[in-house]
Amino acid sequence: MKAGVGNTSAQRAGTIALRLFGLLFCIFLIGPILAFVPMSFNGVALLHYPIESFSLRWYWDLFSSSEWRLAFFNSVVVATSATVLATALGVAAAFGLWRGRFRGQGFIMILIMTPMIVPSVIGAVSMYFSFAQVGLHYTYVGLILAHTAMAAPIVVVTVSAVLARFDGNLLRAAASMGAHPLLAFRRITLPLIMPGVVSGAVFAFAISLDDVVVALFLAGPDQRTLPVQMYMRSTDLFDLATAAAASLMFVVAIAMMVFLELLRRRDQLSQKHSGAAAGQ
Amino acid sequence: MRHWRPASDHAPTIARDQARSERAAKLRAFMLIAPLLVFLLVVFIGPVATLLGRSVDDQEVAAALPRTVTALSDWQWGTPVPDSAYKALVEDLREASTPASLASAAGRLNYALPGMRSQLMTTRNRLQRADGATSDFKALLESLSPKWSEPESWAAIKQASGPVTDFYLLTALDMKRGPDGSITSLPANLSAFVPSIVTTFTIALTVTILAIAFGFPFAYLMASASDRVAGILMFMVLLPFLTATMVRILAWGILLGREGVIKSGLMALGLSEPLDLLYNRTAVNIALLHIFVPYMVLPLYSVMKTVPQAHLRAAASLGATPLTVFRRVYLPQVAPGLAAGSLLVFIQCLGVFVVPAILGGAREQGLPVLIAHYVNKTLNWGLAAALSVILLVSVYLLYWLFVKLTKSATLSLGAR
Repeated sequence: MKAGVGNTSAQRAGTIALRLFGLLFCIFLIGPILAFVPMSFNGVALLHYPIESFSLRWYWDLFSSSEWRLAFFNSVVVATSATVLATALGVAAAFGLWRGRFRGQGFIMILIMTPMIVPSVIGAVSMYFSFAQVGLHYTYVGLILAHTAMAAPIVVVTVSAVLARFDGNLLRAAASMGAHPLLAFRRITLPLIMPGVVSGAVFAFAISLDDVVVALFLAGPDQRTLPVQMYMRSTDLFDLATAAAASLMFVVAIAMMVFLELLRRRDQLSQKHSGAAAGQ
Repeated sequence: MRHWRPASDHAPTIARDQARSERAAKLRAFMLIAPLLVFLLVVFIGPVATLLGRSVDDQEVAAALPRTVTALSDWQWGTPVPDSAYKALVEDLREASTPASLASAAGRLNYALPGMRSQLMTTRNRLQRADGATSDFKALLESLSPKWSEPESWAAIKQASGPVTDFYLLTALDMKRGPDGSITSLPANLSAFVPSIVTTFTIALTVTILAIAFGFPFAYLMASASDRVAGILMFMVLLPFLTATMVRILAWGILLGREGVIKSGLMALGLSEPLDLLYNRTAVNIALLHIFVPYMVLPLYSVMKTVPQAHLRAAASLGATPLTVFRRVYLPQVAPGLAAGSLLVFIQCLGVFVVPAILGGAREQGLPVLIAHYVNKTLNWGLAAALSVILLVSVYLLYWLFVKLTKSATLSLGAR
């Protein structure tokens, strides 16, 4: 197929060079993380290869430390709450944007995208200053609200992408048969856009879990999340408990990745299925 | 004529009904968007606007020294300081009911003219103890602090009398107003902020160029590979993308560190030079490339997928050299993806805080680090806000370009 183009030896050399480059770049992308993870199983506190003895002592250190346990707890609580809020707000807004074709829609979209555009330091400093005026800094509520604001845009983007493929006639059909708009949304729209909603929620979770800067400003010692705890400990690059925490976060990333892939497949299946149904 | 009337009345009724129901539908749709909009306005956009407002806000001095500010309002640089100003300052300082407001005014004046804080506070303390019965306020003040005989002190108060100022914005651009009100740039050896701005943009540009250099061929490889291989390559891009940034930064910190894998590898190869791989520009560039290259690859890949191979083959069969095919046929078709990816990478790089803070040395600390510094360490909110204005204006200019080029306000990556 493509070999038809690359018939001269120079082009073949180019193709091989490109593949070699691709391989090296894959190592660049994945390598650092894959090299990092096994270190957390190192029995001695040295960042040397080869690993001299296999041990789980750093994981033991991690789970016996009240600081790290609190950080885990905080990350789970904050990321989950922010994901739920951001998904609810984001799905409603995306549906509203899809339903009504407003004149100022571009401007509304720019407003919604603000937390993604504004550099996180500026967002963090701003929210720190304003939240402090009402006593919301150094509280769970403040941190959750901030992460909700940061995560909501990605939900709007992801859900809008699936809604673009959603057939509005289905809602008209439902309405003609007397279904209340809310019932039609719950029984027709939501199931069909579910893959988009869930992947939006996964991205929202990832954004909250990824954030260091905003949490650094808004979290007090009791709200420190996992990345903040890692940041605080980063001055000591030899603390392998940090490596153990990082490995666990990497496992979460793989889980999210697999989950998104499964969603994508399910989405394609449902498309094929509905396509076949329409063809009958 | 008569019986036509109801009919002609009837038609507008239908139109009006339809318009009304459309308005109602639009209103219902808007009510769905409103919660998120209100939430973002209150939690995010409002606070950012408030911060930016602080870059020009200048009310501390007028609040603490109201009489002095009024007395100086008509004074011109070059003419003698009016006696009423000396009297007003003595009264203001005597009656400074809340020392906190005086302290913040003194702090503000100290930014403009170093030494003003102690000058003002010393004068106030000595004034409390001094005998109140005098009518020569000029002599009194000059006996308490000789600096009151210098008109520069008065010019500093006059320039800080608010309610708005360009002082912080000028400072952030390494400029200052002389006592006569003229704007001058600071000499290069005294410039504090322009080098940081240059650092921020240099790093962003370097990383964008690197991202194009590595991301372009990689996206091309993905687009020309079989579905199966493309899926694996996509996995390679998305997995680090979903891994927490902090994990990736620490991974690079450990890899490049003193005892790191790369270092010991180099040592084993006999390159035992004590070359430091960490805390320099290279480390920051490498880590940023690793973190942001997906923003280049994903939009590029999604446009490259749409370029028909037949176009390229047709051009080649017509005698175009591979370079011409690339430049004249391929590049114009993938240009939107290239522009979107470049702007995404550049915008993200402008805002990085953690990477230079952990992996960079002193010369890698750009605007975001400075903003955090002025908030955390010196509590100089005005200057932090002014630096934020510069950063945000740059970011939004690029975003505006992005919206113009992609005709979409969403920062979608072109791939789900």
